[in-house]
Amino acid sequence: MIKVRKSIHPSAADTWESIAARELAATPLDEGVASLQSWNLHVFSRAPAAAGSPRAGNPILPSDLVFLEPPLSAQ
Amino acid sequence: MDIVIRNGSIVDGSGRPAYIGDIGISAGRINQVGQVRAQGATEIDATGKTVSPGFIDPHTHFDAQLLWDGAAKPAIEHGVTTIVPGNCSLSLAPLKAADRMKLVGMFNQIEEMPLVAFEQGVTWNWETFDEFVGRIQQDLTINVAPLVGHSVLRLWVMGQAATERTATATETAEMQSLLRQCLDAGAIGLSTSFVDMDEKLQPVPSRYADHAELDALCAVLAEYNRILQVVHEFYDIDLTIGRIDQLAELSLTHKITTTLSPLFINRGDFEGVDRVIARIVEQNAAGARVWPQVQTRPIDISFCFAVPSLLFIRLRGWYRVMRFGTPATIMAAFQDETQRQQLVQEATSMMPLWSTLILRQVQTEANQQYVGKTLAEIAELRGTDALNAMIDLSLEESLDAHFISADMGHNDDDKVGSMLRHPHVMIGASDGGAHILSFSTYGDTGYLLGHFVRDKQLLSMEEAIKKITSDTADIWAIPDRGLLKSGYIADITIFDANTIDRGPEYYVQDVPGDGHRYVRDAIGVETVIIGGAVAYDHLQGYSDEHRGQVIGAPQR
Amino acid sequence: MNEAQIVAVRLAPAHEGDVELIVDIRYSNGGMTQVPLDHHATQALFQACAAEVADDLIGHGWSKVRDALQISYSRF
Repeated sequence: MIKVRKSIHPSAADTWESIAARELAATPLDEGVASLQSWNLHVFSRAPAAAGSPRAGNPILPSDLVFLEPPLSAQ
Repeated sequence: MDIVIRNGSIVDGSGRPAYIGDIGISAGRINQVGQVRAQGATEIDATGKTVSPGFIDPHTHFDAQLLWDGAAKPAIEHGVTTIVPGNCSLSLAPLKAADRMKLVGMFNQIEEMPLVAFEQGVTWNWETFDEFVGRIQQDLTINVAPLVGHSVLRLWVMGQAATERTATATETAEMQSLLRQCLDAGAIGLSTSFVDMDEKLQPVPSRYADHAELDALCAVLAEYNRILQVVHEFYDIDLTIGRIDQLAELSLTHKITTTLSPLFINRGDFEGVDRVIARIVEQNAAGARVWPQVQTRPIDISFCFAVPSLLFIRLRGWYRVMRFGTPATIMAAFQDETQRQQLVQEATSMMPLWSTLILRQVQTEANQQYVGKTLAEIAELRGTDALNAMIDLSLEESLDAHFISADMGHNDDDKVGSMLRHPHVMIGASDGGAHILSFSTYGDTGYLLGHFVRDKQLLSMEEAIKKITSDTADIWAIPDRGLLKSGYIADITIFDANTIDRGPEYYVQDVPGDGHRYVRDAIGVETVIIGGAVAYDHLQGYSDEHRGQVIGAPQR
Repeated sequence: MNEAQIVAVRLAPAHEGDVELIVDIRYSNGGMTQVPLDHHATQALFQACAAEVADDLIGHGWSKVRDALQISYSRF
């Protein structure tokens, strides 16, 4: 089997903070959020939700794949 | 017999070796294959020609065009007899009147279908999928196997909230019910998108669905044995593999077929493509049905100096002009002798690239003579070099001279060829009818049979025909099509294997509202039969027969 | 620590017929990712990195790519 990067489907209410707290519990929150964002730059390729939208301030979509680790090294 | 095709080289779509024979057609179906003694009301001499099932194009966006052109021109001329519109979560039904402009905005952004074409080419006289099918069936020459778009299901059920949140359990149940209605009316499956955006770069409605919603819709697809199509984050290998795993899970859970498109094969990323294919093979070995679609044509890039292009990013002076410039300041830079000399000096090292650029579009009558020529050819006619010819033409056209650099990506013949023949790859992703202002999406089958089969010999004719006929019909559960077999519907393409190809790209004004698009003519396709009648002949053009069907729709 | 940074840039043909800039980012574990940037995002990244040519982007951190994407997609 080929090695596959660990990922999740976020829940509708998930934010960077909630995913970091749940999935990277051993990592300080700020560091976990930064790591998640660096591993998931594709999540920033979209317009921000309008003010007043349930998603305002949160770029993560329920259909996204969110990686929980960096790209695998060649080794 | 209504039609008898005689003495053709029969490539029947099964992959079996070609043989010389006849085909008899009556009442819209293939009646006899082999030797036909009976006389046909129409006799077609196919001596020296190849006779195959009509080609099936599984990834198109002809949705809007079908409202003013039931032949989906020029698809049939290229040998295509069945198209699948409604890909990537976007179909034109079901659609409430209040949501029409929202959907038009998405079609405009994603598929480059001009707003004016909708205004002048479309009479909005449907809302439900059934009404839409009835609408396009009135004047159909080509067969249509339409997908219903996930985004429009959400719009119908959720309205504005479709682009704000996940669905409630009640809304999901309503979408399931609506999907059933669409499948009953003839939809071949469901399409969704993980990547598309509307005209304001907001994600399309399908992207606000969670996995549970998609899972619920797939449960409905399972009731009908229908397919799920997705457009995924094709620019990223890890995301592609993640989507393959997601589709595999849906496929295994619901025992449905799934397909994702496009899969591009670019130099420098062959290792990534190999990982994708390895994952596909693993998931299929586990029982999942996940089909990546690979297009045949290479990717071309185009630009004009009125719109900034990253093509110049490695040239410091040029990119400074492009990046901060307005059309007026770019014109001024080209006109200023000193600045022009500096720009020319900087870009001279890339002369091989400039020389191969093709002038694809100009505004002035005087320069029409150069359209279709390379800058090297134009430079010779003008007594200059390619780089200066590009600058001069741009000045003469007030920057509205368009250049194309052909064959820039997805262009390694050996690698793309190996993918096209791979048993777990579907040939598709043509995007027919989309991106009409950027490039031509027609002629991929001619390119397959001319370039990959005849010229490069990377696939046999029998393999290639099977891939675009019976394989596609099997994957998409399209019955009675894709083979030259007694009892099958008579969708047949007759072509010259020695010449079949796609013609050069050109710009034509044939879109409602005086709109333009890029198209390609076919080369070597002689006769196309749809539903047992000649739909197109290379000498006579299109016939008045309208035998196209919406596959799966109830007979009206 | 987030040490991910740009290690290479190249041009590539985009699906829609344009050219896009592919930014290669290397992570501390040696893993690599490629991020495609359109003209607008590239412009924002150039500005953030005070770059004049594409190679000037090499060595800058991942967060500048994130910010450039956000700026580009917020333009409407």
